[in-house]
Amino acid sequence: MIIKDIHITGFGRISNKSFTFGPGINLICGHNEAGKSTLHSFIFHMLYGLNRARGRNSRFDDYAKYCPWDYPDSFGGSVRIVVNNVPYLIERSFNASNKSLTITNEITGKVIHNDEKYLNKLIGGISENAFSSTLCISQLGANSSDDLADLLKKKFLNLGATSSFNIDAPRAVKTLTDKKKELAAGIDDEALTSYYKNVESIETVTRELNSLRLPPSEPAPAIPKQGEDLFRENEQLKNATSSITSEYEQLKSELKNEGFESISDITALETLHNNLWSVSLAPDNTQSVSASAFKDRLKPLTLKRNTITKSDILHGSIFSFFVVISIILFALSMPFLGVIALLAALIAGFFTVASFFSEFDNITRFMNNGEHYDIPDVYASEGNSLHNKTAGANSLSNNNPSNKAMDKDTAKKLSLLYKKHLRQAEVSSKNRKLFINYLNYIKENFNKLEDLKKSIEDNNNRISTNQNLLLALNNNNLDSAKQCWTTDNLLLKLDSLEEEKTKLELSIQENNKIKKEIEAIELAISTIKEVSAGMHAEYAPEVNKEVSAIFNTITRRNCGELLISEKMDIILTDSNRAIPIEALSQGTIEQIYFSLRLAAANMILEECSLPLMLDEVFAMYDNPRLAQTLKYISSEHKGQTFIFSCQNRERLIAEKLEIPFTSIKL
Amino acid sequence: MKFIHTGDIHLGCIPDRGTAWSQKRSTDIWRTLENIIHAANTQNAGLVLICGDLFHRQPLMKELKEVNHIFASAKPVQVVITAGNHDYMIPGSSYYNFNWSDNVHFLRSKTMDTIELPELNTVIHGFSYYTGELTGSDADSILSNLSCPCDGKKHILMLHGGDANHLPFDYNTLKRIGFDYIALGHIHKPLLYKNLPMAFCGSPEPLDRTERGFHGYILVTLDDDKTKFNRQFIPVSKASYISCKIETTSDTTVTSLRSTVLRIISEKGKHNIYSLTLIGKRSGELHITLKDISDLGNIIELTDESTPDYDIDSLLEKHKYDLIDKYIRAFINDSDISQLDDIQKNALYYGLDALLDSTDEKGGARK
Repeated sequence: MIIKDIHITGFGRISNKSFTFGPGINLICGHNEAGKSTLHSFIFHMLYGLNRARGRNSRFDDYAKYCPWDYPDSFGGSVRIVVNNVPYLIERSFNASNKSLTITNEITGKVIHNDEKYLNKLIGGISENAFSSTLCISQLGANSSDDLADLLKKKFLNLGATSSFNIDAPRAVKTLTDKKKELAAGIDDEALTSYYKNVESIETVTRELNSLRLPPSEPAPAIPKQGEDLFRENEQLKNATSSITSEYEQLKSELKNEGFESISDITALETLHNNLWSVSLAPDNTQSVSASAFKDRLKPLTLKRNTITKSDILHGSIFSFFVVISIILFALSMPFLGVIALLAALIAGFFTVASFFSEFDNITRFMNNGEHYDIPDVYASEGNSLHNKTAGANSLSNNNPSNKAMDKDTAKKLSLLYKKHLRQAEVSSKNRKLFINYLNYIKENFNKLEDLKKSIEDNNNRISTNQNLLLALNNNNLDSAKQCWTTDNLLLKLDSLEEEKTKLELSIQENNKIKKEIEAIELAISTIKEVSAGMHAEYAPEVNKEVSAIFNTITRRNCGELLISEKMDIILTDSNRAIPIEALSQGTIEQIYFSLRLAAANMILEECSLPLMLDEVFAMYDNPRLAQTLKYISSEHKGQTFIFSCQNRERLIAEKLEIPFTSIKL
Repeated sequence: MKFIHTGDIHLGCIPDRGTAWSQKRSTDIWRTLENIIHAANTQNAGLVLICGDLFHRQPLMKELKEVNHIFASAKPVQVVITAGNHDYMIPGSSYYNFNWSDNVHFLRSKTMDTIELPELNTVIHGFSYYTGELTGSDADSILSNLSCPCDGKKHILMLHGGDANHLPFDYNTLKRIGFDYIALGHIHKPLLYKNLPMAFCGSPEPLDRTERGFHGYILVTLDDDKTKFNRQFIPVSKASYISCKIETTSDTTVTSLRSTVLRIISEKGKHNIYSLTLIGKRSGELHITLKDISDLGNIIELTDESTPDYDIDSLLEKHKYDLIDKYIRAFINDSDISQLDDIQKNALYYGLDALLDSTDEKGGARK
């Protein structure tokens, strides 16, 4: 690309001026404030446009700096370039209110409006940043070497050895870091902890479930029916027991009334009775007396004791009859007949009393006749009333003649026994048998008592067993209900925990998803950094070599090498010495950075034909190094070169070295 | 004799927990069981076999009452159940003390047990799980004691398992034992062995996104002379999991994608549950998530397999030797982008996005 000419309508202090340039070196000379930098900026902005900065920056930006105060509408101009032998006229208006770009193909006449991309493509696709970082060197704004170094360092870093020059790796990294932070904010940090707690709780509940009491190996589905049966049976048993207990108590009471507390009493009495009889010679051939004969004794025995004779009844009845008749006759006013009836009653009364005393006499006689017997007083009074007239003293002597051989003491004891238990004092074989049967009868009753007792005990045991069974069944049902309740509660708890677990799992899944995204972003960041560093490593030797070659050429050094670190720290090595750039003179530093720019341009912009634009770049150069630099530019730089200077040094040296150039005087 | 072979009902399961439709799906499972039991009557089947996992986990007492009521309502249909690896007999299980209806027969023994149904001249053989897994000697003892008596009755075997951790059995061995029918459970996908009276009934309702396809029960007819059998798989599920791929282009937007999804759901049924996968190219700026389309229906997942429409070759050509060139080559040097894993692929696109955004180049630069 060749810039043929320019026309400035209005740009800074220059207005309505045209300049024509040559294809090689163009020396633009002018004193201070002649407009060299303005012209330098005009060419740059004609190629890349001029936008107004925003905010505070707008006060000091190029727009504010170069916008004509008097005629802002004229802010702009035109530049004619030749690309591949085709001339294009580029016209711009920089004025913010009517900003425009027109590109005219001066051969075809095709006009393109406001297409910055088209223009950029036309000039080789070099971005604004890339151009200003390499070939376009403006008048140094900063005088200090540190600022200069920083400026160039930053520019070279941004360069990043990329062809588009506007890829901003740190900005890309920042964008990714911001994205990562944004994603990380969506991570539920508590999810995993909560999940572990939840899993622990689930395990606890599961353990609780598993530790529940083992149920019976077989279920008892008929439990309610059994319980009902048991209850009914128990009620029946209780009623039966109550009845048996009454019978038992009555029998026991009656036996007690007979003087027997227990079967041992009978045994003792039987032994006594046998012993008493064993001392006598009484034969044991008495007729049997049915035990039924004692049945009435026990219900109640007293009835038998009050038995009276038939004659007593007859005499008494006659007595009573005549007494009643006499009363009736007296009542009917028949005294005579009444007196007769009364006499008859008295006679009948007499016989009744006589009969009683006759009986009494018999008893007395019986006792008197039995001289071997000695009835103690205690029985004597009782004996009168309790004596059974059917067993009189005569029958004793008739039935048991051998009793006379019995000693008096034994007979007395037997008599007392019989009197007490048989209500008959007579010691006879009949009574002996009767007594034995009596004892047997009592024994039977004791046996019956035992049977009743056993029945009661059996019933009570059964009732107790049934009650225990019922209790067990109730407990079993209660246990079952409790167990069911516990199980259900645990299961519901487990359900709730499982639901929470699902939610936490979803959170964890989401977290993992985010983490994967973050992982991808981190990989992207690290890759960008690695690639940037790798690119430096890749390009560094070549850059060092290229920079060193240019630097050695313009400084006429034969050895030494410039080493440029990734962080743009520059070291000059010379004869085993390493000199940091800060230790060098200002002129050398500027020559190093100039070499660096040209090296970068040579390496990256191989096919680029943009002009080299140097605004007061050589002010610190001595003549030999300036001459070498001009020679280098003339021979090595393929495009145009615009050297803006306030001195004649460049022109004189160029002329002396016979370097062709176009001179433009401002 | 006609009977229904089912199992793996998983009552109490809440499929797709956390979604808007999960409770409905849980109810669907109960209704489907009701339908199966009702079908036993309408199909004149005298017997329903439920081969394990009637419940998804230990049943609650109230759940047992509910299910018992359903079974009881099918009288005189006989119902035979076993506990599977999900509802296995834990010590405190409500199964123990529950009084089933008299038409329900629970083969709750740990070892092979039988229940005879004289009215059907049939004996059912089966067992219940007492642990979540059944392997080793426990499994062997069950399998080695399998035998089918020749007593003129029909003998049906109920088994739950078939995988490595749940009664691993050999189908060839099973078929030689001579049962008139072998009702298998545990595998949720129905599987009917060709020409063999043996089948996995599958779960009547699909329980998660992996259980695609038809779900139902098997209606089996056994001839009295036991020489022939006939079976019919009857789909009964109230919803299906459907997987769809949607192709995106560089012009696809969230709105256009929503229209496509809505159309698919309308065509295939709103009651179904969808797993959607985006394939093809998409604009680099387009990031579609499940939240963007979840209101359109029962969408359980959205997998984005589409790739940003970066023309890598063009980018390499345009950015020859620069950072972007180097960056791309750091990922796909001498290899195809398809060989990258997800993280690498995402890293590539994230980095390209950031690098291109850092330049003055906009949209078109990506192509």
